[in-house]
Amino acid sequence: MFYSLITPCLPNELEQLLVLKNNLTRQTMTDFEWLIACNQPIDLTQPKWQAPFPIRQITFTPATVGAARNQAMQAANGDWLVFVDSDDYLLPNALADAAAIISTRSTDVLYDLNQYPTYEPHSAFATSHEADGTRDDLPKWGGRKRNRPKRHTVNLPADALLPADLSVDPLVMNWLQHRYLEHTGEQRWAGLNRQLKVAGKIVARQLVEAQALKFNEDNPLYPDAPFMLPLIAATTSTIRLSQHTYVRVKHNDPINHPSVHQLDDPTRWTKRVQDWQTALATQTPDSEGFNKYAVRALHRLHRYLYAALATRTGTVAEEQRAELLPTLQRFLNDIPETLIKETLRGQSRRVLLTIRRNGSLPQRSVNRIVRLRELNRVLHRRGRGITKLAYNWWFTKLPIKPKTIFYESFLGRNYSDSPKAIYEYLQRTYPGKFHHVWIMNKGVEPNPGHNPNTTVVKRFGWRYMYYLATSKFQVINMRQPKWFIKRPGTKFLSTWHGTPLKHLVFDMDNVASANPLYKEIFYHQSRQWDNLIAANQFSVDVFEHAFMYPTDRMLKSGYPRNDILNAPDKAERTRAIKEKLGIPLDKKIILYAPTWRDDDYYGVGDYKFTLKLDIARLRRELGDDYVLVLRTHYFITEHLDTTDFGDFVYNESSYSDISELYLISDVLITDYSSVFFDYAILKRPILYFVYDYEKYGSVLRGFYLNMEKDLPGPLLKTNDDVLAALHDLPALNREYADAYRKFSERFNAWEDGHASERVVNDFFGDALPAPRTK
Amino acid sequence: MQLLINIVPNETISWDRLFQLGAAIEAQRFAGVTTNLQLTADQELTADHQSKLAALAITVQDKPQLPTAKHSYVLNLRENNVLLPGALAQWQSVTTKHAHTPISLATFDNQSSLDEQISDYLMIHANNSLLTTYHQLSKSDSVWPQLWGLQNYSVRSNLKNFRLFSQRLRPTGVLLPADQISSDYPLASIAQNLQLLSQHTEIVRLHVPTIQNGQWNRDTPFIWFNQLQAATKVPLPIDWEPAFARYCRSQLRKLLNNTEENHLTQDQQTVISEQLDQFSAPDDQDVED
Repeated sequence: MFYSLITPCLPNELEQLLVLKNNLTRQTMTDFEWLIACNQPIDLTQPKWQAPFPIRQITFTPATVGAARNQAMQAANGDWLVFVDSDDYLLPNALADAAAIISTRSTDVLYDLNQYPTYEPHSAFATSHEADGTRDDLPKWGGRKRNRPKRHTVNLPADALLPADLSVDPLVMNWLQHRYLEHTGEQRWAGLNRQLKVAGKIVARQLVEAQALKFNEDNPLYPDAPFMLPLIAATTSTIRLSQHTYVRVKHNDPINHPSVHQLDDPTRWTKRVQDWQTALATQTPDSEGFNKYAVRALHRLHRYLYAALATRTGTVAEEQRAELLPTLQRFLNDIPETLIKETLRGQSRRVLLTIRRNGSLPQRSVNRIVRLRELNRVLHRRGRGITKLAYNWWFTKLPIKPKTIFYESFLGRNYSDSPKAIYEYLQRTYPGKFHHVWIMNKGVEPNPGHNPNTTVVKRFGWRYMYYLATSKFQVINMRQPKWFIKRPGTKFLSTWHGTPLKHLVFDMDNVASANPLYKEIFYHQSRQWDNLIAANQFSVDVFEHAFMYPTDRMLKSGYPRNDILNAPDKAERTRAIKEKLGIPLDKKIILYAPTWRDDDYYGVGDYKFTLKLDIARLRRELGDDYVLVLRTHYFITEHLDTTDFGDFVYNESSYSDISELYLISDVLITDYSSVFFDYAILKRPILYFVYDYEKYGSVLRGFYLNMEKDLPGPLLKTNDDVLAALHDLPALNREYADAYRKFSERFNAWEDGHASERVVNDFFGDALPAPRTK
Repeated sequence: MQLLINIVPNETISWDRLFQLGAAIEAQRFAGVTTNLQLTADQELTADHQSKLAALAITVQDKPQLPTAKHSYVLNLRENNVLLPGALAQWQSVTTKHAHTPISLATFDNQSSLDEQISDYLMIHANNSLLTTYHQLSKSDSVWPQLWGLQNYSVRSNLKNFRLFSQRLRPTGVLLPADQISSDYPLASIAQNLQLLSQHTEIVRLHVPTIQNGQWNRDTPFIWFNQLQAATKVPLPIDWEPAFARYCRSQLRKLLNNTEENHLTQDQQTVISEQLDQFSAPDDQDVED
């Protein structure tokens, strides 16, 4: 048997096509040709396009995916057509396993390589998954079931000898070695959503030709259903490999690299309905295929249409409705009324029947459906989300309070960072002129609740929602909730929370976030920011590409949180903080602030919670002059027994404001944490204790800085090195004076102690009253 | 895959069952398997036993030679355990993909009829698409291909899960990578499994039973207690200690709550109680699901 692999390729996909070619060369069988349907010229004679199987290019018109597949099918020589998209992957055994099954079956069967959807990028497969060949080590893709352990079927080895007294039919033995799920007769229509996706399907060319099956060339977004629906109807059964062998790479950056399904097309709903209508027309009315497909479409309308058309949540623009509603009416008229009545109930049925009858949208009914669904969701969650509902329904309709400022630092975890600095500056400079609302989690201390004109509210509580909706100004150092509504007349300031060290958002290849569409969500959230604070020109440059944020809306001010490090009274502040923490005034302070390594493997005895810094030795050799302040993950410090170190170690991991710890310390020891950007403002020595530097290599590749060249202090890999450096800090200062100067020029040129003032003046502007005169 | 099946017999050896197990291993026709009988000092062999064991290629060693090939595993079994047909072929499939990972085997229980358990199992999975596919391919009612057809595994990282300790720490029924066996602990012991698992970040669970096994806490409760006590000496990473201590407490309580069923003597109950007192925290309410 011989396969023809068909891959449509849209403009700018040549690079990923080459990656797919490399992937295909890893197939354990090579009895196939690869047809690339692409209108861009490809020089297949180039060495990079050489492969152990023939590759041919087909051009096509019109420029749609449907036309690409149709014309590639016409040019195919193989007995079997395999549909592979250019951004997807096959596991090495995919074609061989399918061939082993196909060889025992007839040609009127539709085969499915079993898609595994993922948001992991190409690089993840090119490195880990393909390199070690582990076939079940497919990444989690972030769906609802992401936390459930994945079950993998166990096929018997090809050379397995079974007990001599057991005789197994050769067909069954073949199945045990290449397991699959077969659906025959009516069962073929089960799981229609999966069946209708063409990627990863294998079908006999003879069957396609006999049935004259074609993809829709006129619908650029939805070409598949008019091909797949009659194909399923023409088969006697469908077979799906029980192991995933086809990896469908979903795009994690729909803003810059959208897949066809992610394209931002305002007519998407119209095209979707047109697709349903075209596909339905391929089936005889009242046939099994017709009814199953119509019911599927009705369920999709019921589930997704109303939110898209409701007044408050709608995504279909008014001018598009004029096209959508008649299309929808025509489609609904193709479906017998009895089937609609059997499929849907209540308001949903009435709405669709109204559209079917007169092509008009009963807007009030649609709005009511959406509201009831939102309410039902809250009831289903036993009241959880009720405050958000109130925010959406009522609070966002209340008048805006022009003198109210809403602050949030690290999601309400503490009273800190630039929001704190801005708040304190406003309180000092414009006392009584604003109402300040701070978001603080329960029990967080210190909190500013006792200050005048200040209200502290719990995150996601009633008052939180009220002030989020009605405050004119919002000052937040992370991201606002996804459902936040930017009301006209309000101003949003993102202070962000540090000079970027690790790759951010659009600079990330792989999105490790819980939500695979993090980039898209971040993009929409950051469009709501009126201003973004940048601490230095380096941050401006990074934010421009990493956040895709316009530079003219950045406040090039330095970080308000760092004003304390240049405060004229910093000596007094240092003394006060030391006294508050009970640190002897005559002792110098080493601040140790390592990052939390949560993805390491630790062997026996190599406890996760052991600090690699030799504290006992530090105390022995430096205890007369220094104390050590620890600022690390609470998990480490909670398990760390510091009783042997007496008054040498101060665990300040839960201290709310790290800037104050910078201020009191004389030297910083850190590693891959971005704390050193701020600390360098103090021009004090910084040591990088990177005992696992080699192991951290893959992480370092995702850094903006070159750790070998750009740092203002030494990379130290052993405790001996750290101690030697601490014993002779003046020598270290001399050695790194030039590097330190360059570093400061690059990252701290704007930090002069007046960032808060600049930010407040720029952001609040006209809303500021005349400052209080002293 | 190279596999050492190490049989650790009960105090009173059931020779018939032992020879049945040996025959079942041989019937697997698996080239890479060796079998050893690990006797205690007071267990002796007759000449008849020796010749039958030799015929089944079962060695008798107190400290068996561990396989040294690249993908080697050790499995401890009791002599009254049952090895189901095709078991080794299924294990081989999994070990090929996860060569150095311990594999916890699902089991049928040795207290009830194997045929009934298999029948019930297949009944529960009657609607499984794999099973319906099998029935489309074959009219045979042989249960073995059906069990093989349902076989699947998962890779689990929740190694410190309290509820799953029993299936992972039991000395029999877990495939242990041979190169990670510690000579500091008995080959078939909770301590051995504990030291090995605590070094790992994941374990494979084979979900369809391939052996029929017993429960140590029910079948040999005081030996189970001794095993638990011995395992408390294993040095563990800090995050393992509370989880294992909690497990020990729950197991000791379980033993004490079922003293009649477990046939524990008064002296044994006293010993267990004393041990539990040493473990217990004041407001401890551990209950194993």
